[in-house]
Amino acid sequence: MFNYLFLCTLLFVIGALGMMARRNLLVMFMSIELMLNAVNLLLVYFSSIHGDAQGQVFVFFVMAVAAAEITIGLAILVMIYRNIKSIGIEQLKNLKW
Amino acid sequence: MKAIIFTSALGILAMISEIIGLKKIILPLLIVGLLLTIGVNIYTEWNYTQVYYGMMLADNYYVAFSTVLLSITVLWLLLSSESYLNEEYNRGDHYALILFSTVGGLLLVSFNNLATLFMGVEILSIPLYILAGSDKNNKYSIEASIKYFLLGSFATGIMLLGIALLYGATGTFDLGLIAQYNAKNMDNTLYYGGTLLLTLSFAFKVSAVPFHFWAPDVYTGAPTFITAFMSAFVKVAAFAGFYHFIQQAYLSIPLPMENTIILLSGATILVGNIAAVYQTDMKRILAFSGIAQAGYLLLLLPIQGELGKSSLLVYLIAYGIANLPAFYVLYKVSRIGGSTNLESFEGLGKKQPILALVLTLSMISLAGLPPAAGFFGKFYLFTLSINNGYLWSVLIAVIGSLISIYYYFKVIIRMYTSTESTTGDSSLSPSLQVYVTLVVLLVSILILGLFPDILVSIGRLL
Repeated sequence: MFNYLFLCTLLFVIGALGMMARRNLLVMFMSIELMLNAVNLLLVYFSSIHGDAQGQVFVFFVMAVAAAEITIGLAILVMIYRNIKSIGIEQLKNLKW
Repeated sequence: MKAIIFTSALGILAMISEIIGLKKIILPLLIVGLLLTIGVNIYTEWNYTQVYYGMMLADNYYVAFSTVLLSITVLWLLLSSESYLNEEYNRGDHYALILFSTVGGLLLVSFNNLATLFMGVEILSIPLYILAGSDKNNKYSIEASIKYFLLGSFATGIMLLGIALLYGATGTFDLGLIAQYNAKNMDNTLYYGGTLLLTLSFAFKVSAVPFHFWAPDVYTGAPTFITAFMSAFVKVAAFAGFYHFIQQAYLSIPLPMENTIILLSGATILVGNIAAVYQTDMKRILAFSGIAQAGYLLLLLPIQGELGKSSLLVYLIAYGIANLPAFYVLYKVSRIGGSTNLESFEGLGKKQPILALVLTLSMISLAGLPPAAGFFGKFYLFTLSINNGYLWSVLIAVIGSLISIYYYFKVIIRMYTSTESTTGDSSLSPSLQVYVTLVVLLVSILILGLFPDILVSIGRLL
């Protein structure tokens, strides 16, 4: 049990750190996917130890939503590229207090 | 359930309205449709609790809050009819996204299963990522959009991890079974980790400190009417969902959970109010005021029973109907003055007495002074919290309210004390439908402020 939990948490933390440390939007999107897929793995594992199919069905929900979310993200990315000709987030600092 | 189906159908209708040639009359059609939905929803589901396949729970709480949410959408549609949406060629798409977001809000007040909760949060948020960036050539708008998207996805990831851990501990997604599990097993690490992560992701959605950093930036960058929707609708939906989750997932609230929420509340009240004092941009003032209001509302979450529910209802309605007109006036002023800075409000009392009156009343209501609705919202909230033993938190909340009077009145003073002698500017005056909506909003702020018993007696039935 501990090994699976450790692997999934590690993957999730790598994704979370990637979100915070990287400055390229495409890499940040990949980090989001990594976080969501770490959760998927965890759900499938729990589903198999509980002998209950609900967890695996939930994974399909997560996959569908993740696809929708990343589609929106890529559309926003294209919009940003058209405006500032770059996909780094360094240039996006007009809003701050 | 019917409300969700009808609202989705209206959203699809809005989406295809350009193809089937209904573009001209789509706005009245949607408003009539939503009003009918509200009527059918109350008529068929009030006092008729039903569980749909174990996934959704349609009780009186759902009926009351879905009515509030749908009404906010109707009022938003009426007010926004003057905005850039009227000029854009693809306004049907905007309306469709708003309605889909509304469906997400309805799911958030009716979930009985973690899967429905997850879908509700996502359906609420994903259209808003697009809408925040709907002013495509404005660099502030796209920046707001990508910031909202990245932080929202991050919060989704955290919420999913929480759901997965809860599932691992309990072996079910059903909230009723989870509550029973919680009553029996008090010391499971997975279980507490899961609830903590879920609470944190909700705190992100309601913009509680320390997860509030996205809110001022996104509110400032997004088009003003989208900000109004985020500020009024999304906050109400997220809070109703948060409360629903805490009430459904526990038979009695455990002490660590209670302490976490009270701590979040104190930090949110102080940071929100103090940061708002230093702002010079009206949109940012409203954003920080929204954060501070979230702090007061967090105090209600650990309170169970009908008193908590009716107090939540009063506060959320007062907050929603005060916020919408404030953003409308802000939009009008920024349209003429060119910016949302406080300077643009100077002399508004002479130039446009009606708009100035609207803004004054909504600021008074947000500050929580009589005779506006916000006074009784705060009054019930503070009384209930003291009765529940949160004396120190209420003390912090009162100090926060005193600070908030400063920045709410700063705007009012700017409007009425001006050395310029300007005459009325007719280009600022609202159109007929907006005028009627504003009158309805102002009258309801006053009526709820003078006769709060109307709402409280409804709240006792939840």
